[in-house]
Amino acid sequence: MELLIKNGIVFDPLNGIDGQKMDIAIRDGKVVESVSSGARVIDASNLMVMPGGVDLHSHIAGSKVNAGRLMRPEDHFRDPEAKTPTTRSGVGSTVPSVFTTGYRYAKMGYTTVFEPATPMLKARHTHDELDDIPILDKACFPLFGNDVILLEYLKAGRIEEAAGYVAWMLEAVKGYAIKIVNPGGLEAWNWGGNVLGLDEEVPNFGITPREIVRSLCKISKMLNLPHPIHLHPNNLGRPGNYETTIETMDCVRDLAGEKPVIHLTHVQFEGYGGRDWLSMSSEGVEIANYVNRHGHVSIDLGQLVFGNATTMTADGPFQFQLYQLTGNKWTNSDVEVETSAGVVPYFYKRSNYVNAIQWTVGLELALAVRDPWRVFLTTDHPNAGPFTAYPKVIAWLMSRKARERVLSKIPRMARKRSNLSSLDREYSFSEIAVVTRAGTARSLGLKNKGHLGVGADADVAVYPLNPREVDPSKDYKKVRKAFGNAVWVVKEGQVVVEKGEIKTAPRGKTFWVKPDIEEDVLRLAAANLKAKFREYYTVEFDNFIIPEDALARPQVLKAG
Amino acid sequence: MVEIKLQLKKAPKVPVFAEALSPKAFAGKSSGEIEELPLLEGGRSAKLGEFFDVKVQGEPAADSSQCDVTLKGDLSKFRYVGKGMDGGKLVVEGNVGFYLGEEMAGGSITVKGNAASWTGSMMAGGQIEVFGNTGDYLAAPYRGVQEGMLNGSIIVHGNTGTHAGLWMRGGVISVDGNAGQFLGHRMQDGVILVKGNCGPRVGAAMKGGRIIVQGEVAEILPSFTYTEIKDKAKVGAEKIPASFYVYTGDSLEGGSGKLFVSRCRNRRLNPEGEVFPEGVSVNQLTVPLVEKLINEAERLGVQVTKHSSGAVVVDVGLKAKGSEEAGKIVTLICLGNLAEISIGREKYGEDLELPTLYETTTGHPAVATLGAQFAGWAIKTEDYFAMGSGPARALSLQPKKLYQKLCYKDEAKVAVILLEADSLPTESALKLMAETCNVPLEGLYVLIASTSSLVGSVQIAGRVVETGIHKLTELGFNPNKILKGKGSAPIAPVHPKSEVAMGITNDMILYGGDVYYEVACKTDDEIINIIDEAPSIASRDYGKPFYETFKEAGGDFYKIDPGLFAPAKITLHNVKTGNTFTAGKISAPILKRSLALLKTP
Repeated sequence: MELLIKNGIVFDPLNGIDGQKMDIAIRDGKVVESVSSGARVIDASNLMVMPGGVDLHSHIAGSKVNAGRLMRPEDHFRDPEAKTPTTRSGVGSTVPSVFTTGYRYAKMGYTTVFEPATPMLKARHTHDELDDIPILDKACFPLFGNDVILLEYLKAGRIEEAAGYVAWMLEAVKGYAIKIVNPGGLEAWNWGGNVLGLDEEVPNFGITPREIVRSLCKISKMLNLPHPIHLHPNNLGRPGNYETTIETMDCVRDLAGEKPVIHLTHVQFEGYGGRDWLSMSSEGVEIANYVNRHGHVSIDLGQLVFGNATTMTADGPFQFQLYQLTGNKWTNSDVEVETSAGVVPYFYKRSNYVNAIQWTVGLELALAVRDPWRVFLTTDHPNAGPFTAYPKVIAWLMSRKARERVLSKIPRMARKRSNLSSLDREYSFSEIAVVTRAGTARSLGLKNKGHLGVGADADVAVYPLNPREVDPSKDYKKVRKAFGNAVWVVKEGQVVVEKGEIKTAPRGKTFWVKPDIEEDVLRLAAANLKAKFREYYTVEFDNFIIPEDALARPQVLKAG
Repeated sequence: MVEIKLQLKKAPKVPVFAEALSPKAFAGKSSGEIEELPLLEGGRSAKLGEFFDVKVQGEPAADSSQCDVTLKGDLSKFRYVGKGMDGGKLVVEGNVGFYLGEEMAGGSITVKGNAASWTGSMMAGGQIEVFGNTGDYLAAPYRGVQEGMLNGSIIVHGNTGTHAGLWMRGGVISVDGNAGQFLGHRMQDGVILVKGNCGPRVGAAMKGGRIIVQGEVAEILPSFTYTEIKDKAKVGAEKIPASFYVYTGDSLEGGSGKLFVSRCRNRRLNPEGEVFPEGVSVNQLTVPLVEKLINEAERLGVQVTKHSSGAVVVDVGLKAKGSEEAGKIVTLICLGNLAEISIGREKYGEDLELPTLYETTTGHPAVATLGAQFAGWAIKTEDYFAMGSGPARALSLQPKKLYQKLCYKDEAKVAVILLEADSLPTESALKLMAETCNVPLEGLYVLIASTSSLVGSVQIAGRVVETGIHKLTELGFNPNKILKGKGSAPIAPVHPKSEVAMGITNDMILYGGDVYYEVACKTDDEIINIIDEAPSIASRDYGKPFYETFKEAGGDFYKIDPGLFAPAKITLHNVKTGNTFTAGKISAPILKRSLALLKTP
């Protein structure tokens, strides 16, 4: 099947294309040089064309996402999606049902979304849900930072065996990268505690978060994984935590290579100054300064959006603290062997100065980090806001006026405690393309995503906006509207969105990584683990392994 | 005003989402347009006209408040009827399904049949009245939503299910029947009134607002704290006169919600350690005494008249001269036969000795005295007036508040009453008494005596224990905490002038009465706080014969300090702590001054 997207104004930063008028030829799901005259033509004249969006951090599937769905019927009932001939019914708002997740991402021109926190024991559930999310290509990051077995290896200083364990685990649960949440803190949480600094010892193990982060960073490099360690650091959500955040980034500085070796996620939650909530301030610029000086780091925003949110992280002690702070309902889950998790609904108020400061932190980061290839747009969906708010965030990044409008409405105390009003930078369309697709695809090591060069996956979004006419700085409302409602979206060469409506909803792929490791090391790791399973786990070793054919459309990526 | 009438013509097979059945949707539409409105039958889109015949009378009004809608038929499967209604009138002549009036803000809905669950869910204003029952979750918000009913009112004449008023933030819910468990669960504010009983876990996790239960409650959660007894509860402008235990909670949520539960219907809760009167009929108990009066009339000096209406009138001290024994019998009758009485002689001071009545209660002291003996019933017709006392009051519940306090009422088919009057009761008075007591005239026994009679003197002395209990109750003491009453008072010699007789007989108690009560109080504070106020000496009008006081007040009772009416000396013994408290004293000099009045013609 051939397709020609004609006369669009294309932004493809990976191929150095910045708003040139050109055609995109597509055959058999790939971008090609040219197509025959019989190809179906999409007239994209005066419309903006970008590669399909790539999101590297959005909680869309897994046990805690489902816990969030279950505990929040009130989140859904005012946002129903009726079924249509092409789509299933569902509900939306902050934790949409699986089908609605796929449709709404697709309508925004996103075609690849990664689920960033999966307890290995629950990976089967995560994959079942990922399989049900239509259109999108997906993957999941297993949680390693508090895994008891891994910590035991690290305690014994056996890093090669630890690497074998991580490799075996990634393959067994069909994971993509190493995710670390509050290293050591969640193990402490299993005993009701926490770890409040990079050098505080993890109870019962005698090792520190610093050692966990460094070891996993080394392991990630040893296994040649396509994406660096994906880290949610200690002390998230606490005033004064920006120091911990910078220390954490700095602790692997000596391991730097060509690419970033550490990705800090939803840094908005990690960029607070002050000693307590009263003296809290934004330190986004401080963190950005570090990122600017050090090429071994990349970050994503976790930009806060005012309104309804459902906080859900593997950071059980943080969630418990948030529950105590809000008095809202909460649930705790996944407290077994590997990790923990908690869910607390939250409403971010513009009039609340803490929330308003949080809002400024994310934007400070985005504007003060000079290299867009190392800072990515996320809302840590649904933690700081739902992914459906991305167009709003894009408008803030592209328009100082849009930011001023909000700044004028937040408490003065929040304005004073932030540098945001002094940041004049406005993103270009090309830079938006970097932070929403090209940069994320490169960070994830997805060579065929995030660009429209020949051989790329034919994932294309066409937005109803003429970037040569619209000044995003002034007409930010048009920008917001356009990024929320792609007029055409092509996924693997198939038109999935036509005139803003879902045309068809094919099943996307699930990526998983086969680490670069000797087979006999892997076999040894398995043999060692078999014994541990009897001791630690609630499932049989053989049942724990997810065979590839359990996934609907698995796509293996060989590391190295 | 436009009248819109819908008649159900086809019953749906599966539930129908019928938000269109509302004045809001009908406003400004013709019958044809109304028939075109969309409904969802299960997963199928349907039109209103498939299910209903529509008649519109009058010009279609654009303003929904001008719409008067009537829905006829069994609408049990129709959900969201009247959703978001902001004005107008909606009447359902039949049953109706889930979510009736969800998020309504104004107007009124009336349901002649039953309404299903989530009636008035999250409503913000207006009124819903259901003549039948409602399902569960009355006025409750959607699952997971923490903002419940905000304002408006819901009246249910039947019963309601579980979780009525969940997360309620304001407004009024009134249920005539019973309510299920978790009534007012997580309530924040507003008022819920249940006239019937309610299930367990009432008010669980409530933070504010008031729940009033007039019937029985299945339990009070341990996280609620008892605060006090109140004689009324307020629902909007309306006051509900009944005795309530008031609890506050839920302490697990740091809540300050109020839970009013009927005291008399929930005696087992008994947070005050009261002794409730159980299973006695003060009227029935006095029947043998009345029979003795009648059978031995001549010996006792009383005159029996069987009235043409069937009522029996016994003159014990009007024209009849009576006797000391008749006086004792009459006193016992007034006490519902719940006491023992004897007469002896007692010295008062150095040189005064008077015949004295000794009295000991044998049953519930407050019922015998306040519930029967207390002269609290003003019998008033066009041609008759008298103060009534005795057991019949426990049938007529005069005055009602007192019986609420005691949690007592009699249901006998015989009524026995003593009138203090100077003339025999008229036909109309007899009829009034029988009717008020809900007994046939054949079951009415009226004893009558004037103050200026031997029986009058004896039976007034026999009120010494009652006078003390009454005074204590007036001071706020709970009469149901009195376990036993004993007392004595001199019996006044008879004086022919009733005003003087009244003065002297009163003085016998005010200056010669001596009472002793055994009470059960958790702490002595309840006694210490009032004991000094209890005897007559605490009154500003103390210190001279009552006749003089009465004259000084210009013959007006209401100008006299009511605190004066108390025995001269009161002793309370708390059986819970073993401590005894006494106040007041017998005053022989004033008794003498009072008796000196006998010489005045």
